[in-house]
Amino acid sequence: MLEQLTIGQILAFVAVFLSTFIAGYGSAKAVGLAGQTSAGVSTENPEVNSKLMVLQILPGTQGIYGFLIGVIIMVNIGALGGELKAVGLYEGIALVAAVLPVAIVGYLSAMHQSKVASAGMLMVGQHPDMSGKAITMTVMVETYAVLALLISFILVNSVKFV
Amino acid sequence: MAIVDMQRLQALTMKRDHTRLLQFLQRAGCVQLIPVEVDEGQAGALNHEQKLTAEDTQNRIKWTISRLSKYDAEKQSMFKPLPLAPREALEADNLISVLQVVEQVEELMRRSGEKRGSETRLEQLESQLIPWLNLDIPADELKATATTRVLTGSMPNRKLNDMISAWEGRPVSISQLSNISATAYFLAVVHKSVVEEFLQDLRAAGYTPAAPQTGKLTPKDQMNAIQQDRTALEDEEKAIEEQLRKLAVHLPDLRLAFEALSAKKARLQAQETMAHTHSVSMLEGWIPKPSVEPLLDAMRSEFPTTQVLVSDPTDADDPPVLLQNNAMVRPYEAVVEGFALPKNGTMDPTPAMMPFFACFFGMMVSDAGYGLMMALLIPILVKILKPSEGARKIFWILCGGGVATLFWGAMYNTWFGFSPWPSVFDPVNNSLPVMGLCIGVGALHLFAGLMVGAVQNFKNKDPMSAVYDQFSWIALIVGLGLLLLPQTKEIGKWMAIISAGIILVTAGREKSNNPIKRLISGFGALYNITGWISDLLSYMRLFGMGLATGVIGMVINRLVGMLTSSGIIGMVIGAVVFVGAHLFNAAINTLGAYVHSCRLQYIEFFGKFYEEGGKPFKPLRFAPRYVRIHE
Repeated sequence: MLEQLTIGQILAFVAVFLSTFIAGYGSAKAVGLAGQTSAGVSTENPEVNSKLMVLQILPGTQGIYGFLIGVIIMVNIGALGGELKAVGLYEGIALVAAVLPVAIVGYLSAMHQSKVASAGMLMVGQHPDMSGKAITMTVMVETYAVLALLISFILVNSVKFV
Repeated sequence: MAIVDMQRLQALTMKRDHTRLLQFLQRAGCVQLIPVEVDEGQAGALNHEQKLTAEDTQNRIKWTISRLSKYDAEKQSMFKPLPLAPREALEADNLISVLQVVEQVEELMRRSGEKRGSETRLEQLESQLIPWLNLDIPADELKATATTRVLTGSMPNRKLNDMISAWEGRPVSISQLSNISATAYFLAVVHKSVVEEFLQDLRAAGYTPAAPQTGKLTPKDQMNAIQQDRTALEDEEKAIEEQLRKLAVHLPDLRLAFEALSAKKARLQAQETMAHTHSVSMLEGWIPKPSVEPLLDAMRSEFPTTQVLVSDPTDADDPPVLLQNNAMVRPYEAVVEGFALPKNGTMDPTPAMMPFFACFFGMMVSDAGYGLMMALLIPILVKILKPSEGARKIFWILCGGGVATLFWGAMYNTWFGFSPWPSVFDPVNNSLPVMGLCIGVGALHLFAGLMVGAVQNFKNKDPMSAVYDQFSWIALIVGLGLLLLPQTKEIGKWMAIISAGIILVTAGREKSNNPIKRLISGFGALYNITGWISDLLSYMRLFGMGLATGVIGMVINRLVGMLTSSGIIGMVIGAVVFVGAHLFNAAINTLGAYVHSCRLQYIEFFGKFYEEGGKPFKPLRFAPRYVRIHE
């Protein structure tokens, strides 16, 4: 099958890879960083651990957004079961461009979100009743990942195949 | 349906009654005590020591509970309600038996600490002995004689072999005792005549002097003695553990004692806010208006000599804020409390917020299957778990969100990731209408916020402010929206122009009387239109999050479809994956929907009208941690 792939199809795979990898990489790093802070704060104050868990997974959504765009591309080009559709060179390039918002904004916002989450954890460690505020502060950062997801989604869906 | 009116309660009682009165108030749980303003010298401070002791004892009990809880016969679990306890148990003052348990545990833990110390010491001895195990005489007997000297120590293994062969046949006896990671330990008996020469050779070969532990026993016997000591320590450890396990039966008593001390501490704290002379005590506090009559009735019969004065707060007062709503709205108070309580004299935003919160939650989870499960299972969970009041609010929020999710899931036509029927809104294939819907719902939400502000202005008898600050903005945004449609363009244009004019002229009315300065303020206010754009765009998250749930659900089903098509085993694995993956998707999206719904309230909605700054109402009451009070 491999020798029958067109460059356009390969570019579409690259697009799937980029959105899953870059956004997922950012989220993995971010959740990892937040997890380290969570462990540190929990050592001092074990009672707040469950509250910190929510803060830790918040920067994980960017990876899911990247994955989501990847899957939508795979559905659109027919890579998930059924026949692979013909993807022209320009459509392939368009797909690669389309995933960049969710990939790059996803990566950056995950990193920043994990910093806010970590700082929030320190706050919750001292004042456990402020966890709601820490979560809200952390969610602020996510807005931009959601916007990037929307743009990528619209762009990806705007690429039509025969 | 709003912020409860607070009244000031002042009571004058005989001093001998005052502890009983505090106990009575704690049972009633509806009065927040505030410090009585008195001249110096009359203020409390009579029980500072008592408070410190109570705190200290409480900490000891808490520590004991944490030590014992791993031996608890009744395993604590997330899915088990807290045990019930009668109220009297929380007022008990007899701690003697509990303190005995605490002392025993403290003694056991002290022994356990000593045991750990001995263990490390033994380990050290052991590691020092290991190189000398082959020495078959006690270290004390390694002495120089009239003609010989004894040398012990270590050097690299290779060098030792060289030495042995080099000194072959001379008056020296070298015996290697052990070889530990290329380092050889040896015993050498050397004739006095060659000692200097031998030592020189030794040093050249990298000799480190070392000697076995002194003692009358051979190293092997010493080792055996250590082993015996260690076995004894292990037995001791088992004995300690056994005793701790036995003491763990007292855990319920310990927990009750902890609660009793918390309650006592709260009373002592309250006592400090009171003012006392040598025969009379006075207290002051806030009480919600609806609780005044029942409390006074009860007080009259129990404390006939106590004088009570109830008065309305003055303008200078800042009474604490307590929200009160009907059963439908009450859970959502938790959302408001998560941000900040409204300022005194403003409106409780909870009723206006509640339908939007549930609606947004539903649009973001957006899977009717998940919604159905939540709406059905959560009431059952509440029945089984009997959660605390705070947790129960969250549960009911999720339950209400589940109902909204069922509705929006049906609109989007997503049932556990499947789309069995033709859908009203299709976010994946025809996303524009859904985006428009999200912005539209967002505009309604923001208008609702402005309307709350307008009602607030009417209540303050300032209807023109409502026109200037709220209605003109609604008209401006609606007008701008109408501009988009060709049929309504003309009306929209005039609406926008007139309302923008009103804002331009009035926005600076409180800042200055100078018309030019006012106009500048007006322009500044009009610039806020950019804020409206970003606020409205913020509601696109409703679309994004809803899309995420739907698409992940769809992917799960495709994967499961591939699995189940490959025979029986595939079907079994597929079923497990189906349940697990959908649970994961539901969980992560529920969390996301909850926090994003909160955010839309806190930033977008509250930003339009909310005045925060109320102090929470914290009455003197029981707030148990390990038990539920049996009414």
